[in-house]
Amino acid sequence: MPHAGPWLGSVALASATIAAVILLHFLLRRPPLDLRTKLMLLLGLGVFPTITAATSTVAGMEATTHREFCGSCHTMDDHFGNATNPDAQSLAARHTRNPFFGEESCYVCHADYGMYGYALTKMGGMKHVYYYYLGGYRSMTKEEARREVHIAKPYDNANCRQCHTTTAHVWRSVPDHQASAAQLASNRMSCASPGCHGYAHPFSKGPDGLGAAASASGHPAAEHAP
Amino acid sequence: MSIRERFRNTLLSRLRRHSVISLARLACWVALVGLATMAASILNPAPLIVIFAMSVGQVIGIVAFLCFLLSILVDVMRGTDHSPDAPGPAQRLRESSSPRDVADST
Repeated sequence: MPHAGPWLGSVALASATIAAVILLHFLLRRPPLDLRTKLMLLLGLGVFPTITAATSTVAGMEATTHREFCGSCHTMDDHFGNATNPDAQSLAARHTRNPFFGEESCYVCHADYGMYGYALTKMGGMKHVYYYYLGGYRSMTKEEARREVHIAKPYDNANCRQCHTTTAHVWRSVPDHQASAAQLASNRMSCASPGCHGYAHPFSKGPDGLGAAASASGHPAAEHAP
Repeated sequence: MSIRERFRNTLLSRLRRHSVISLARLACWVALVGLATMAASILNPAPLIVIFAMSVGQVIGIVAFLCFLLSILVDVMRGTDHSPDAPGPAQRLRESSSPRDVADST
C-alpha cells in the first residue's frame, strides 16, 4: 500500500481485535449490564468498529489500486503477465517497470483524473466485477477473454498527459506530434495508436488490430480499444 | 383474564425483561460477524471479499450498533421494569419483588 501504508491495515486489525475481545468478554463472561459494561460495549460496538470500518475501507480502496488486485481475475492474466514480464517491450510493460507506477501501474494508467475521477474509477471497477461474476466473463477461457474483453471506452490521452505534458520542447519538436496535436488534444487520435506508441497491450488485439471481434459481439464493455 | 391474554401478557413481560440483554448479545454477535468480514478484507484483499466488506460488512456493523442503541433505549424507556441483572436501585427493587421474577431473570 504505497499511499496509506501497511500500518492502516494493522490499525484496522488491531481495532477489530480489541472490539472482538470486548464483545467476547461480554458474551462469554456475561457481566451485569451496568454503566461500566455499557460503556465497554459502546467501545466494542461503536468506537473500535468505526475505526475498523474507516481504516479497512481506506485500506480496501488502496488494495483495489494494486496490480495484483487487477490481475486476480483470470481474464487479466495475459495483461498482468505481460506488464510484469521484464523482457516485454509493450507500452504497459515499459510503464510498469517505471518506479513511478510501482505496484499500481494498471490504476495509474486507467484511472479517471477528472474532478470525480476516483469515484468514477471505482464505479467503473464495480462494472468489471459485475461483468466478471454476472456477465459471463468468469466462465470465459483466456482465448475468449482476449477476443471479447476490451477497454470500455476509448482511452483518454489526458491520462498520458498526466506525465507527458505535451508542452515540453522535446515533444513539440517531433513533426508527427506537431501535425496531430489538435487530434491528440481532442482524443480523436490516441497516443497509443498503432504506428505511434501503441498498442499498450498489443497481444490483446484481434487480427485486425482493432478488437473488431469484440465490437461485433455487442457486449456493453466491448466498444472500442485504442 | 383469558388464557390468550395471560399468554400475551406473560410473553410481553418476558420480552421486556429480557430484551435489553438479548439485544445487547445479538448486537455483539452481529458485530463479530461484521468485524470478521472487515478483517478478512485486510488479510485477503480479493475482489469479492473487499467489496463485501466495504458494503455488507459495514451494514452489518451499523445494524449491530443500532441493536445496541435500541437495547439502551429499551432499558431507559421501561423505567422500573429493569433489566434482569441491573445493579443498584434496580437490584434492590428486584430483591423486593417476587422470587419467581428473580429466578426468571437469571
